[in-house]
Amino acid sequence: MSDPVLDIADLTLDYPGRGGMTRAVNGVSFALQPGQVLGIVGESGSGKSSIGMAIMGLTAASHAKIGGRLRFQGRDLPGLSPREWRALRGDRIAMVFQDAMATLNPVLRVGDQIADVFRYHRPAMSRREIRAAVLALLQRVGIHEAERRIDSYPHQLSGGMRQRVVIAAAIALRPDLLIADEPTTALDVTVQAQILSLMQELIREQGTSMLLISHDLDVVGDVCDSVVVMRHGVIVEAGPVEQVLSTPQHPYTRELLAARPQFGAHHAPEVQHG
Amino acid sequence: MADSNDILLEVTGLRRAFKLPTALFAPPRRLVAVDDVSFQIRRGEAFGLVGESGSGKSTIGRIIARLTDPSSGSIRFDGQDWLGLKGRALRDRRRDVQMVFQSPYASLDPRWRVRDLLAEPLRSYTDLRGPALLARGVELLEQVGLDPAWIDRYPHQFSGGQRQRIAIARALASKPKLLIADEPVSALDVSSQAQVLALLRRICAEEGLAMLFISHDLSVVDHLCQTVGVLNRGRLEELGPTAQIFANPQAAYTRSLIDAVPGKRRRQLQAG
Amino acid sequence: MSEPVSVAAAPPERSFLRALLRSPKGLTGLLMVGLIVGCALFAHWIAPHDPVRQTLAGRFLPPVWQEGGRWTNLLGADNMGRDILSRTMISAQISVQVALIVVSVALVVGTTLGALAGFFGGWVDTLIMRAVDFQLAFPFLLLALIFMAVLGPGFATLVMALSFALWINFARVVRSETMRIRRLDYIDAATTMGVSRARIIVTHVLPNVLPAILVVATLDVALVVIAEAALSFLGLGVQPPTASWGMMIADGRDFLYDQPWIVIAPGIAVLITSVGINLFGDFLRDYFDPRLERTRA
Repeated sequence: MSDPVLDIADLTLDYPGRGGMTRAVNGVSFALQPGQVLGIVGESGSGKSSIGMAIMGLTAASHAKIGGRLRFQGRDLPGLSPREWRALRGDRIAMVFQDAMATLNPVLRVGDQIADVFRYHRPAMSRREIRAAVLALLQRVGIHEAERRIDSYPHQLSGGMRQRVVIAAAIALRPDLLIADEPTTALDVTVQAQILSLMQELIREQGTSMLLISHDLDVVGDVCDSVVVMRHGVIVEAGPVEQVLSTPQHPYTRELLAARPQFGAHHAPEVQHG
Repeated sequence: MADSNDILLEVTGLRRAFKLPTALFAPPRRLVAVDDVSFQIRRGEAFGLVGESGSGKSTIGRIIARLTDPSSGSIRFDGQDWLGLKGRALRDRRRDVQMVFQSPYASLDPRWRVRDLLAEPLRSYTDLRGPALLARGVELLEQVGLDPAWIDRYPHQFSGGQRQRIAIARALASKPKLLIADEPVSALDVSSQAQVLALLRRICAEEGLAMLFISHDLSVVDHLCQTVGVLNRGRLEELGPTAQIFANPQAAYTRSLIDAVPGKRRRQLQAG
Repeated sequence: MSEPVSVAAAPPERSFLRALLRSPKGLTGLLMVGLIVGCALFAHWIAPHDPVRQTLAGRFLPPVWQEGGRWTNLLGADNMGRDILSRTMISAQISVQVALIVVSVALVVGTTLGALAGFFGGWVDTLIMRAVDFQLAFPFLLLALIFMAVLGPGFATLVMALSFALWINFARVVRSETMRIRRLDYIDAATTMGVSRARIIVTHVLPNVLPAILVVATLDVALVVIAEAALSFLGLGVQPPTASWGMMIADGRDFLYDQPWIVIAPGIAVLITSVGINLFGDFLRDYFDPRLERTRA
């Protein structure tokens, strides 16, 4: 039995604040198997994004303290040295954030930014090989006229295309784990649908496991195999997505489900005359 | 079929085009943000304007709110030529059309207390001053479900959902006939969204307010609005009763929008 | 956030003192500025000697802690036997007056023009910005020289030259802040509520531009103090017998190696003024920002 991709037990995350440490994550446990897609659902302040950051090792800058077990393919993540982290990030673990415009460097061409991933992790590749790989990636993520777009700057692309570029960079080296933190929240609904189905295709193709962090239960329901519902730093409910959606156990989950108006279900009230 | 007295807002042939910067000797380029849009809103009706970014829905809202001018077209509001109003006359009639904006952070002046934020429209449109003004402000706060003791606080001391409520309270101050809500819940948490939507629904029923609800979120429009107009790059692709259009979309664009609404699996589970 | 942060909503007037007492930089700044202003106001009474009285016997008297120094002249005397401490104190008058007048004029003119340019855009903006450009093209010293040539040297010329140079700082900052603020929804909201444009500028734009203005003002006061010293140093500012720190430094220039204290005293005075103003200005800016917690619940 191979190691789970992610093995998390009693994870705690404390951030230093004005009045001492604030506990953002308070004893979270779950596991992610190879090829599985797990959704973490919660509102702002639930701690869901903090978990993603902790897995990526991005909490050091905030001087956060990590407690409990956080293992990636059997390796203890918080104990890694900066050099080991750099080798892991982009290669074995990749992350996609909500705002592509903030992820991408506005003064560098998008092709160069994707190429950076290869240049850093695959020093043996020649420039021509890298350019060919980048081109192939752009086409794979559905960017038309890739030969032209590869030399574009981020601001010259639409929001959806920018996010595709970010995804291309993320899956370039066929990572084992992809963390997506609200990847489609800032996008139009039709683009959102396209990006989500693109991500599903890619991870299925490459056998990548995915952690999808979102406030939107509908999105998570469509894309994930299992889901974990978080509130104030703890998990209130977890299970296969069908189960949680059709028979939610915890009142908070039910509240979340009830909060979203269901398309086609409710009808607007009759017109009132003042 | 509708009684003509019944029609509060009548938009006809609205058009808004922008000149784009071009090279020195190149032919002129235009961006048509709103292209020949026509629709009506009856008194007390909630009208949903859906579209993606770039569809022109916000521009239409701003034109109706007289924040920007159209290139051509006409608007009749409450029987009057709305676009023809200027200066003092416009300022007086503005009370009938109020707006709630998308960003709860940018729509309230961070340096003003809630009491002053609510006092601003009351000063413009009522004779209330001093304690009577304050009392009315407190009334408005209560109407939107906020604790009147918070009237001395600053916006940053409230959550996003609460700020939108303050914005709604402010919009109600002049007792408008039409409320334009431009993506009022898009920037909010799921539970806050539900609360603010419920509030809007209640207020419109209580006050008999008509509402122009601009959104990209079909589920919300389905829940709130009796009539819907679907905008695609400035053109109105479809217009009609919400239940009908969403159940039986005629235009391809509408169909693709509906298809993209997340939550299919959940709907399947609930149905099956 | 599901609940508002519980911060006591005290009106600004009452809690200013408390905020000041709680802020180390505010207090330090205020103290330093207070020292300088105190000298300016009371130099006449508290200066140990007549600052213009020249004595042959007291020439180049070193400060009290050096060999040959005397307690009567704490900081020593300059090349003309004038007591340095007294001179330094009385010079504060010039610096404070010039700084206050110049910054006030520049602030009013610059803010008004900047706000108009930023809010209305179009030809108003173009006109005002071209005026700024035109002025920027003139080196500051040349400007001062032109003023001096036309109006003759002295206090009035100094003030006018500096005000003329300074308004553009305010104009540019206020313009860019206004342009940013103008795009925010709360400005649109005010329009939909029938508020006139003039009222919007005064009640919404300017209060939000205030922090930027404060920053510019405090930086500029320090700048003016130094510029006045520089101009007076060059002989383009105040004329003898009026004393100014710049003039003191100019006078002591030739004796820098052997009798450095003639220059150091006024130099430190300029330093204290600038640092004090900057610290206090920093505190003021924090104080006016409602977003920073001032009292803990």
